[in-house]
Amino acid sequence: MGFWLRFFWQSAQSRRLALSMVVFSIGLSAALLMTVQQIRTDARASFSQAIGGVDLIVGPRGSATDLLLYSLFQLGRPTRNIDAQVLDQVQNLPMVDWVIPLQLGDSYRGFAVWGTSPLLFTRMKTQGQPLRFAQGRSFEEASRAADPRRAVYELVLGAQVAARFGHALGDRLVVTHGSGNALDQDHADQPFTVVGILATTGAPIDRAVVISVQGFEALHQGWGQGAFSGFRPGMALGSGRSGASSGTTGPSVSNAVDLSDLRAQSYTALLVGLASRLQIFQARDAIEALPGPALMAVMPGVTLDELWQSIALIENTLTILTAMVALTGLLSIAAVLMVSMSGRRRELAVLRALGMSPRRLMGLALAESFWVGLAGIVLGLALHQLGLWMLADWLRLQFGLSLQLGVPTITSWALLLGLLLAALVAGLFPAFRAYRLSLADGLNPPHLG
Amino acid sequence: MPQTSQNVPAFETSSSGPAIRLIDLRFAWPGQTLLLHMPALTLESGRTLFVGGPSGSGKSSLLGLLAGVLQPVEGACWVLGAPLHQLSGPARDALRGAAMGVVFQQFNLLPYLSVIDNVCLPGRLFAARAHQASTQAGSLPAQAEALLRQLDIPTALWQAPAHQLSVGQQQRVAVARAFIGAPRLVIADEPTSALDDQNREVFLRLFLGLAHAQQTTLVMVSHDARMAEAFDQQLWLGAVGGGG
Repeated sequence: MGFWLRFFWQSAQSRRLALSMVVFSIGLSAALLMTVQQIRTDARASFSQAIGGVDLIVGPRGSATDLLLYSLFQLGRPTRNIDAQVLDQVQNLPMVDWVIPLQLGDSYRGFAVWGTSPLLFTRMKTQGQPLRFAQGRSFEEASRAADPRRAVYELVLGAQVAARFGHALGDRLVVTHGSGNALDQDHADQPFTVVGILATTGAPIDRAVVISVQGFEALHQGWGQGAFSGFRPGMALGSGRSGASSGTTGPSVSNAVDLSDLRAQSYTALLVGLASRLQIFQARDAIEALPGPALMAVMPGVTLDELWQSIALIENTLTILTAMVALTGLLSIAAVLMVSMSGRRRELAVLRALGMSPRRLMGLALAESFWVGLAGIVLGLALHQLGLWMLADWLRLQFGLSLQLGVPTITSWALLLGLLLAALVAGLFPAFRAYRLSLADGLNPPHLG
Repeated sequence: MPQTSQNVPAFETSSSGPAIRLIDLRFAWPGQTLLLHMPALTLESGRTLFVGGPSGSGKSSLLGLLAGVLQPVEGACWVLGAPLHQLSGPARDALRGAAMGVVFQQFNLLPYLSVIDNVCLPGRLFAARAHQASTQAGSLPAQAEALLRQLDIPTALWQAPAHQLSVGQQQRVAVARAFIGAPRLVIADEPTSALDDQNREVFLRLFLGLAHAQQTTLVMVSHDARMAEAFDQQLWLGAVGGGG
């Protein structure tokens, strides 16, 4: 079959400009189709993987998706908080294993500050993996720390925050109250020290500045409320009050903060882990039945599914747009092959004179569409992988979206197969034209330009 | 993908008897008046026929009928013992590929294929042609080379893409392709009209020489009456609608 391979190749070579444009346009369509598809699926996956390890999120009664979005994804703002005492109430429920408080509302240069407990670093999972420190360590629980005053002002950075501002261990940061607008007040008197930097996860915690609940309260002491309210001698920290030993941690004002008073009044949300997931509905009901202001306990996975359903319209629009792009690509294939078929009338007449039936000529044109389609799809796969490879880091850092390089999913293969079939269908038009032309021209090759 | 086909028409093409026999043959393009009427024409095997007449007299249509790309409105068209007027399109195509050579006025070759590949093409498409070439010359390329040598195509051009050749050379390569694999009928439609006088002389001499040497039946259409003498038989077609 060496001769026929040569024949195909040389025939294609003689029309390489037109054909390479077709291959390129199929390639772009395929790459676009696959990339959109992958972003769709991977966005879903990285959203659900961002909330690993958490069985329930507790917040004030309201919209479940709102709670999920503002608590774990820092999208939107809470309108109400829950009372701090709820933490103990939830903790005391028999099926609850652990509770992590979450306080939000402050920011550091545009990145959200999470006030939480060190438990977060051991309980939360992203992409199925526990959090890992790239450098340093967790801040300490002030009540257990050897030097509680210093522990209060310790801070852990998400990977992206550290990378963005080039922060290293030991750096001192000033956190802003509110979301970072010019009018918001800097807590310039409360510098925090970086003690740990988390490894990249692809989850929202990459964009978080994590401090202790006490640290979060310390920020707010003396702000908006005037002087802090109480002082309990038994729990006061003598060393802090002397001022000398903690001189390195910041201006003397901070020394005035009373650690004993650093008890949160309220939390934005609670992250709850259960002893057994089988008890998730009982736990939910128990939490929602707690006395006091109405609470809500949402299952992150279920709520995420609801969220996807509510944005299905956008997803579908994206799919339709992609399909349109692919269709445009296919039409251009048909058009280009059609035009090139007119240019091949002489060739068709010669082959016809040599005994090729119009049907066989049609088959020849279809075979070419197939190979062109296949070449386009292979190019598309390559473009897609190359694009992912180049964009993966950026998407991960910018949007927390982690894309999976490597083997395309079954859906992607199905898409490609569909595209190949569509290319064949588009190829039917020029093939049929070949059939018609060869019948009409008979033995007389036309005189063309 | 085209394959070397063993397509042998479903009838015996007899090598005795006339190569062409037309009986009361009528042809018209769909929806048009009668273009061609041949009450009777017989051409014995191995003979050469010159078809002359003004343009529009149906010369090319006659060749189309003989080659099986056109179908008569009425009448019988026996070519190489096969009733073309009764055969299906694919069967006529197969007969043409296996047993006929065709030369056009111009644009005979696939411009991107090499000269030698162009000449071998009929043998690649029809096993019968390749088999004949092997019997006569040892192999298909061997016969192609022998023909190219006979037709004065310089060796240096054999591997060149066909579009690099002059028009005169291209016409001679087309003749080599028409004769490869010993077809029993070669038909040519104004093969010399793109050539100057000198090239036309050379072409005609080589063309007829090959036909005589291989005892191939030859039908050539031309408006140039000066060449008619060189053929065994002449047929003159009249003006449009002319029945004879």
